[in-house]
Amino acid sequence: MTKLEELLQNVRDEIGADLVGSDIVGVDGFSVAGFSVDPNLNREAISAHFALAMKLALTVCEKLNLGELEDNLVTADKHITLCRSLGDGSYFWILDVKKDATLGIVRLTMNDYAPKLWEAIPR
Amino acid sequence: MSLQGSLKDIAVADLIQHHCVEKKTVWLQIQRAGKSAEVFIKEGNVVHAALDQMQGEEVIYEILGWDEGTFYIESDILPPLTTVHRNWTALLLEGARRLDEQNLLTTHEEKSGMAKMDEILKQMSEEINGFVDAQVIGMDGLNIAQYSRAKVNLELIAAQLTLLMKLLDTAVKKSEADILEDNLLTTQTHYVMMRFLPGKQHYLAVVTDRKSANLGNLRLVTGVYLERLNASMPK
Repeated sequence: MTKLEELLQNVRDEIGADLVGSDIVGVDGFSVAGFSVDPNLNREAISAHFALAMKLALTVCEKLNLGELEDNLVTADKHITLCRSLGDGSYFWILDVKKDATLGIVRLTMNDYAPKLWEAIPR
Repeated sequence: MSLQGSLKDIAVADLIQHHCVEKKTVWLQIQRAGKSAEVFIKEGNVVHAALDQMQGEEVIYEILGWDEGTFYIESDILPPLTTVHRNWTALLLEGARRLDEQNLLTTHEEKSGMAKMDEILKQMSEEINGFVDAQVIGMDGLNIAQYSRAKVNLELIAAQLTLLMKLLDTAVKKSEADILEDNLLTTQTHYVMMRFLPGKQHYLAVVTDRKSANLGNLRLVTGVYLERLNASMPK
């Protein structure tokens, strides 16, 4: 298990059953680590789409002078997806939780693990 | 001789005008959405028209507004009775005048609907801490209502946010999370909340100052006002 996978496993342990899946994706849309509780989901395709959306969200915030984007929270009828940039912005962290998850805890966990994940990405 | 076609290719007014100018005697049947009207033209004059229980000139004024449907024309069929007494040019002119009046009324209703939406956004702004800007934006990227407390480029916001909403909608569909409900951008200084109105043809975008805004309040208030905005949406 790589350091990245180990950290994602720790995140999984902390968030528990509310966690649906998570990916570390480059700005090119390729996943470098991730998992999903549903093996039928095409995580790579999903991550690529959310990476594209994050790139656009960053552009939108810049064009509208809204300040630097910290995260994007997407609420759908089954899941909530949180996306944020890691480190210098060359990677995104995408995390899916169930609709009734405690968002405050999820956000705090992400704040805690974002720098660790950035450090663990091989460069 | 008989002829049939679609009202997409030729307007009702043109059908009547053509046969009247040519001094024809025809029976014209026009059908739209389960309704069937008939118009009798005798030697270049409209002499009888019927639609359901209605007869006479009013039928002509009604069907002049039909822009979808089919028509069927049979030559040399005589009218069973005479219910129209105006000449065909006066009929078509009066019909055109009524259509213009109707269109003006619709435009006025749409404008007053949009003014109402602007007013609702203004009311909403008073219930949201740190309010900066709110817009109702169509999925074509054009805003139809807005209220702002800051000097912002409304067109730029509408176009950029719509692109993002479309992309997120696709991403959510791919993830089998089914239906995108809302999206919240958190930046160092602002929150941007975007929520679909029912039908997903429009969405509400609200920008707030992060220091003074409260996320729970933002979500609650926008949820309440979504219903009101939807109810006042021009149909």
